[in-house]
Order: sequence, then structure tokens, then C-alpha cells
Amino acid sequence: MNEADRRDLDGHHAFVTEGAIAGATYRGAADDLRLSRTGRGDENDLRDLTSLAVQGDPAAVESLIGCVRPMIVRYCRARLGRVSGQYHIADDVAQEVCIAVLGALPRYRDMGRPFASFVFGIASHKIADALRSAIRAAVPTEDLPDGPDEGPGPEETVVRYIEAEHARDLLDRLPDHQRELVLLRVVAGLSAEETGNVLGMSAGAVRVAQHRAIARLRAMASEESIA
Amino acid sequence: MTRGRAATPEPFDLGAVAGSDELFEALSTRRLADLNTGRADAGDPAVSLLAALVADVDADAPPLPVARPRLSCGMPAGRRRGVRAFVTFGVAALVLTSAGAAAAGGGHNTGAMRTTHVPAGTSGADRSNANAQRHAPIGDGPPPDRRPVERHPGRAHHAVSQRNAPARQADNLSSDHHGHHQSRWGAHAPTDVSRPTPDPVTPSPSPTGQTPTPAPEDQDLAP
Repeated sequence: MNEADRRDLDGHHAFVTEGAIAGATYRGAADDLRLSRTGRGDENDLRDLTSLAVQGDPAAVESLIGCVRPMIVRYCRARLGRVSGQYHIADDVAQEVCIAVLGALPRYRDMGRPFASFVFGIASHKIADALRSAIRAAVPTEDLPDGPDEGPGPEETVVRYIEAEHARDLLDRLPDHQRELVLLRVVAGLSAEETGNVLGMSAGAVRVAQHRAIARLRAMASEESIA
Repeated sequence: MTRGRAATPEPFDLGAVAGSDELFEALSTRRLADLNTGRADAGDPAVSLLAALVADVDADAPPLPVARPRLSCGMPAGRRRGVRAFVTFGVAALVLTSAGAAAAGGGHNTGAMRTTHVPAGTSGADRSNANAQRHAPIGDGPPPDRRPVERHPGRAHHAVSQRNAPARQADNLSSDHHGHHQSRWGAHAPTDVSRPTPDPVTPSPSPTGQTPTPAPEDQDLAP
């Protein structure tokens, strides 16, 4: 990236906004990295992206947050669940996690641990804070839709809610490390290697542990169905 | 006895582990349709609950990147492997080089441990004879290093036990006479019948006509 591009980026992206994270077009070095990642999941690219973001490149920061935010949202939703049928508290916590990551990014040092470990460590602290405070804020309601609702119907929605709550109950009965492993692997969508990097395990150990976790989930689900 | 470690809860089948990994991979990559078609565990309640949780969490959430980058450690595994190989070969080369230099720099047929070099295939009795013949002519010089040659742990133990416990010689001899000796692993390994014997060494006449001085181990072994 030349100096002109850097000046353009510095002047254009003063700070990161939700809309910028959701779907902005990225330019410069971060844009090149994003393009290079479309063909293959290259771990070096994320390291370079993290390095650029730590140095303060706004485009790299946007791209990095855009990469991790979907996983943070899902992780917070799976951990916190719905409140009054809505995910607004979980989404608020996910947003706080993103802001905390942005705030802590200049202090991040690559000590050999994965960036995801850094991110999910912040997320777990924020979730613990939210569970301690047990906020029950006013439930926001959506505006009346102007068109027909294309989503699932009420019955399907209720069945999905109940099954999801049941899955959370079963996950809460797992040991902590197995619950974290299943959440990272299934909900956040990490691979076995990535999950192992976050949890400090080898990929083989992750595979064995997830096998034991699913076996235990099966046993608990069978017991409940019999009862 | 597990020596403080937790025992393995139960044995597991590698095929089942691979099947579970495939299942988790399908859930992780949101290939939920694959969970219900063509799988033996299509009616698995745990899988259906996890799939419901995934579908519930994904509702109105920002989409996961299609080609999501790997969130890995700071140093890629390939580079780590290269560094490990480099360090391993470097240490091996250093050890080999230093050992060779020490052996070469010792001089006077004395190795790095100040032991006399003897061909590996030489038996103990031949070694004693060789020592006697080699050191005998140097009568007016300083006394040579008479430390026993301990090239093999089993042989070293054999020599020490012979020196410190002569009463055990009979047992050792009896085992040697049978052509076997008790190895370190408890198995009877065939041994060389020309291994060190407690018989006194008859010194061969030296070229100078002097009677060679027997080696210390020979003195100890003499009745």
C-alpha cells in the first residue's frame, strides 16, 4: 500500500461503524488480503490482517472485525439465549465485545496464541458480566412490517425456540470445557484446529473430546426422552 | 497405577471419532441438509437439538464468511516444523562434530573420555593382552591411565561387579560357561565365549624381552 492509499484510508475511515462492519468495501492492503482469502482460508493472511489492524490501519480493523463479529454474535447468542423471545441482550453483549476488542487491539501482541483466543477470552468475560448483572431491560419491539413476512410461521418458530432452549439446557449440563468446545466448534463455526488453538488443545484432542461430548449429549437426550 | 494421571474413561473407536468429527464439521459449516440425508444418525436427538440451536442462533445474524480464514497461532505449523527440524539437525551435527573432534584431539589413542581405543570386535581378554603389550615397553614413563574400558553398560557393570564382589564370579562364570548371560532386560542373550574370563592372563613375550606388567583388571581377576 502506497502513501496515497494510506492517506486516503486515514481520511476516509475515521472510526468503525456497524454499517461499515456489515458490508463496506475495503480498499488497500486489507482489501488485497480479503481478496486473497476468497480462494483459500489462509492463516497467514489473518495474521497479516491482525498485524495491520494492531498498527492502526482502519481498513484492516474493519476487515478483522468483520471476520470475527459473526462468530461473536453466535457465541453470545448461544451462551445467553433469548430474553423475552429476543436476542437483543446477546446482540448487545456481542457489540460490547466488538468494542472491547477494538479498544484492546492496540495493546494486542502476537505471543504465539491465536487472535481468536484473544477475542473469545474477551467475549467470555463480557458474557460473565452480563450473566452477573442479569439485566432485564425493556424488550424492543419491531415496527410493523410493510410486506408479507417470509420467515417461518409461529408454530415452526416456537418449536425451534423450544428445541434451542433444550439444547442450551443440555449444554449447560456438560462439563465447562466440553460446553466451550461444542459452542466454538458448532455455533461459532471454528474448525477442529482453530478450536484447539483457542482452547490450548491439539486437533486430535478436540476430536476426541467432541466425540465424548456428543456421546454424552446423546445419552442425556435419550434419558429425557425415556423419562 | 496411573501415577497421578486420570485414567482413560473408556476406549473409543477411531471410526466413531471420525464420524463425530464429520458430524461436527457439517454443523460447523452449516451443511444442515447433510445431517438428515443419507446418515445413519439422522434421527439422533442430540444432533437435531444442536441443529436447532444452530438454526436459532443464525436467525437474523450476520452471515459467516464463506471462505473464513483460519484463526491460527502466530507461527504457522509448517514454519514451526521447519524450525524444529533445523534445531534437531543442528544439535545432532554439533554433537557429532564435537564428539569427533574430541576423539581426534585426544591423541595417543586416547578418546574423549580418556579411555583407550580398542577395536569394537576385540574381546575382553584380547583387550587386556593388547593393553599389557602396549604399556609394558614404557617402563620409565608416568604410569598410564589404567581405567577400565567401559564401552558397554552391561560390560561395565560386569567389570565392576567382578572387581567389587569376587564371590559372585562363580555365578557369572557359570552363566558364561553356558554361553549365556543375563541381559539388562532379563532375557538370556547369547554371549561371546571369549568374553573376559577370570583366568590369569599369560603375558606374551614383548618385543623388548621385558615382562609386561599385567593390567589392574587382570591383577584383580588373578586368583
